Amino acid sequence: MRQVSAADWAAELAERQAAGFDFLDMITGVDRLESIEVIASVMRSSDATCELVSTTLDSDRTLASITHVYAGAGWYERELAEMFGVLILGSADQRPLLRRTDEGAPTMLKSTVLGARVLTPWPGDADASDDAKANRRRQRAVGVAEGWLVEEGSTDD
Amino acid sequence: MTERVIPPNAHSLIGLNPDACTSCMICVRECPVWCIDLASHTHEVTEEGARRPKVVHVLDEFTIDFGACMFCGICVDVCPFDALAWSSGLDQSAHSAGGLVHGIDQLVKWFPASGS
Repeated sequence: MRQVSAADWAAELAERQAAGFDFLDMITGVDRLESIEVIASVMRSSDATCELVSTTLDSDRTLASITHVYAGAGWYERELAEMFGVLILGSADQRPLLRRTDEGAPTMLKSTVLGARVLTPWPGDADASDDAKANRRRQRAVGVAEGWLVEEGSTDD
Repeated sequence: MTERVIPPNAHSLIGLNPDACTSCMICVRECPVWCIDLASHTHEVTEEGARRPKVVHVLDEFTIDFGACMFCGICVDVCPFDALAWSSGLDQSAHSAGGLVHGIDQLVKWFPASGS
């Protein structure tokens, strides 16, 4: 993994492309709580060799667009903006990718509470033994904050 | 145009070995996008010489919704019985979102050992 500063992001990826990595595999973000890490995977399609380039964003969460290097990056940059709240500089297409508007908190941040998780039945809730008598503690889905899945009037100890 | 190669270790499908699955639900509970669904029932087996009958889980249904799956591989990693495994291949297209939900019949074909 190549670690670069956010300022060197576009230059580093241009260098990777010049080194023969002709295909942008993907770009994604990782919420490290105190900062956002952005990772790009580039591939040399002739022998399927992949390399990762990573950068950690400052609190302003801005990153230069690399659509002039890899045209396909626009899709992932829209995803970064929508899901992680990263402000992409110099990108022509700023539309949200999945949601109709960019209202509300970025969905992939750990601080964002996902309301649908309360309304959707968790497949892991059903006990494998299908035994109502089983004296198990009620399990909670990973990533669901305490108290979310408590039904009104029930006790969740 | 240069020839495009799919890496042999590509993580494009997840296969299931239902014989190894014990319906323990760990994969279902660890899946971050809740795309695995599992149904099972218990069955009592009396072994010769045993004092009490043994309760075993029998797997009835196991589905992965590849429309929701984000291919993180956590289910493959957490399975204590290696009943889930990565597989490469491009059998993923469907005409509707519901067509991306695959059950045991299809998942067993993608389990690497049974495929080779």
